[in-house]
Amino acid sequence: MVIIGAMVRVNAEQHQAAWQVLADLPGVTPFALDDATRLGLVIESPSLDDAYRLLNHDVHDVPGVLSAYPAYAHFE
Amino acid sequence: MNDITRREFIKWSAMAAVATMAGCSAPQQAAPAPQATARPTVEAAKEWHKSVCRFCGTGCGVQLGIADGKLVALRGDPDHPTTKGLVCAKALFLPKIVYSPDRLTKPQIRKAGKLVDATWDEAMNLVADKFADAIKTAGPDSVAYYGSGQALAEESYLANRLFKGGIGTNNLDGNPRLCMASAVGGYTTTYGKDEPMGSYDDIDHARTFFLIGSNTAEAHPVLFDRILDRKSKNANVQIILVDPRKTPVRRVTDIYLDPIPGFDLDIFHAMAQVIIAEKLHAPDFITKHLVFRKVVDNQNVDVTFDEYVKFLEAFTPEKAAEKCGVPATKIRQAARMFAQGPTMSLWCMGLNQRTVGVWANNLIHNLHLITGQFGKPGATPFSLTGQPNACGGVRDTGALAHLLPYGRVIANADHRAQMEKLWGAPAGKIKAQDGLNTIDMFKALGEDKLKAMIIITTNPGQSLPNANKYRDAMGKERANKPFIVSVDAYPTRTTELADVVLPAAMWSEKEGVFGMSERRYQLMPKLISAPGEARSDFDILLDFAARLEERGVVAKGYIAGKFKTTADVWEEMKEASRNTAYDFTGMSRERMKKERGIRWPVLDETHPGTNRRFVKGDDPLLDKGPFADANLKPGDIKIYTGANNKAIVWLRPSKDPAEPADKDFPFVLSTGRVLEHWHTATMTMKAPELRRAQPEAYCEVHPLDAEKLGIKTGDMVKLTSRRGDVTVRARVVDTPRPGMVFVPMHWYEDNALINKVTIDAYDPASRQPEFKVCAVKVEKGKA
Ligand code: SF4
Repeated sequence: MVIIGAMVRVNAEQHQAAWQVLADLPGVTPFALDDATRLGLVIESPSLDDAYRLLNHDVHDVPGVLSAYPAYAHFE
Repeated sequence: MNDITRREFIKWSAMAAVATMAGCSAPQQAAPAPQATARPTVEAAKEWHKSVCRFCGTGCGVQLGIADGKLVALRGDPDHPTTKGLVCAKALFLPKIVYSPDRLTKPQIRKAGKLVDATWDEAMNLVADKFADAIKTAGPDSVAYYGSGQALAEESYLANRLFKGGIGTNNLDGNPRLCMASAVGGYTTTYGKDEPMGSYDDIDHARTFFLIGSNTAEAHPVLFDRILDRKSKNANVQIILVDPRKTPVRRVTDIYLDPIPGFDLDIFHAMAQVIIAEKLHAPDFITKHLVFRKVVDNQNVDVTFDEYVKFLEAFTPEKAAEKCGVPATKIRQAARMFAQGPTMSLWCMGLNQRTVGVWANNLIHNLHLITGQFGKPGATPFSLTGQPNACGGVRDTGALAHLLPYGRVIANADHRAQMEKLWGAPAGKIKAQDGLNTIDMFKALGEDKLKAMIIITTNPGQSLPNANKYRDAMGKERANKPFIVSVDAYPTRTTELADVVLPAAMWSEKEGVFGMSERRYQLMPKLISAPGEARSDFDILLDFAARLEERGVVAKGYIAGKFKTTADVWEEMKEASRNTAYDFTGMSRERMKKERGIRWPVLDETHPGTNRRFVKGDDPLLDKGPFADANLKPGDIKIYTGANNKAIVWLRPSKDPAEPADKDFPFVLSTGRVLEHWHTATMTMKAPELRRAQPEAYCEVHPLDAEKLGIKTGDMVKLTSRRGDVTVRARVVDTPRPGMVFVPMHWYEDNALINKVTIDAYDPASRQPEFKVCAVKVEKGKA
């Protein structure tokens, strides 16, 4: 089990749309932070490879997402 | 865990960590909130210590989780004043990288062509014998040191002391020559001394960001977020990007200029031309703080502002557009936006790794100077660095062939005398001529003019341009083949060529200072033990010096017995900085243990560090010491390192790259980084996840070119230059400009080692090679 907490920087106008697409990614749970240009994500995946792919590719490719940074990683 | 499952608890910890990093007390929407005080926890960690990321020059503050003497976790340090808890994905893998099973743990000596295990005594005696023999028979200039922006500051300082003041050779250079020597040349020719005057804090005040040749999004992601944060909160913040490759920075860019690679100088002149023609310049600042200069017959000649204006007439946006392939309207827009300010320029290898690197740097400074975008919040030219300690470790300690510590240069007799006195070296010991710079050093090696070289914490067997030539210089068997020592934590493309390999302790296995891009010196603690018999570079250098003393080629007691720890050397470094423009005498080791880095100059223990140099009220050197000026008011600027306290606006002519595309080699190759890997990937390839995320080298080809060549994504393509070839998989994407291909520099397999193709032509001023531009042929290859 791998759980990663990440902060995602989004374009304010596309915040809602990006949230929706992110929520549809398997193993990804978005949560709100305190402004329209950022949101939090929890990524749960069976392997670090999957988690890494999700964070650095799938999440990055979502329209409106500008960047993503991990803040917490739990591997076991 | 009571009513929540362990998995839920970990999820909550993850959310709390993100909320803490984002500056919120708790996640804003979600089921039962964690304790507001919850901090990220990786359960295995029993204690956490502040430290610094091992990778890039951003210098992110990290916290390292230790359990039972082992490094088990890493997280961003929310208390870090500039990076505030952010890290990029690479950093999370550092614990894995440190414990890679292929760490070198024993010294090795080459016998009958094979590296075999040896004792430290055997290996060090052999190294010392070879060096001493060379020095005795062929003189001090027959040996050389090649160092790194990844060594600790104390290590580079000690090596500099040993070679220049102990052995008596200036043949000491380092890999920052490959990445930021042109930035050094730009600062020193314009302001008299190296290093940025501003800091990361300027990001929070800038209205215009001028990014040149910097893939900040992938190479310095945490700084990129700070730029995004600034932009997201201020609708009038704009980003101008100059880069022939549409990197991810392009997504947030307001004005994008994509010059033909190597042809951007005219853009910067054209921007200056527009700024002055439209009266957007700053006449008062110009009168007070600037001189204008050109070079005629190798002599510097001062000229008037009017002559500068006349010079710029040859660089109208229309003329620049023709040469650079960028629309004139965009050059005009960029110029106006730049002049409006506050403007912060950030640049990296796209500007530095060029045969006109210093000139290109000068022209960025010119723009800041003629507009007065200087010394005010958000208005500053700022070069970014790729290595964690290129600034503090190599530039500042003077560990390059033409430098001495803290702004001193070999060419200056007073500077040499000052260092001889401090080091206790006899007068005249430091030679008056610059030593061999990186490329010339490896050329001399190939010509058997050097007899012995020690290479520490770097991998020139992969990172030098025109790599076949210099790999042969290091490793090809021949009668007088020089003796090569490689000190590293892992096997590399360099250790495979060495006669002796010494196993090195890594980051966190030793204590010392890293100095990152914004003049911040940060102390990293030793937290874990090095594996096997590995030793720090510092201990290896001490041992080496002692053995050279025993053999009579370094004066007895010059180093042996003087220093035991890096903290001892730090005391001397502080003294070396006293009364220089770098003065950090207020950074005691005790203070550094407590604080999360301090920005020099800092003259006493109570000074908080300097945000903006040359500004009265901020820079303590304007209050005390040789540069003090009581006549200034708070906020006044005095460029006290400059020519008569003035900065120089240089009239640099237009100049093409060393090897533009031609009919035989019709494409331009540029090299660079990917997010997952770092430099020669000695470390990042050790994390299987990072390796799998970017498993093989590739070549980006523009769709228009791919169509002409009949290449599809996934095909193998062969890239050939006048020096060598590689065959890698194609990615057909519109990221590079048509006519340009891009290959990352990280892969070390023979078929993918891109530096076999790159050119070793270098900037005559900075001696930095032109990794960013060389001509290649692109053909469909065989798998
Ligand atoms: S941005 Fe650079 S210093 Fe910061 S975590 Fe990433 S690699 Fe490390």
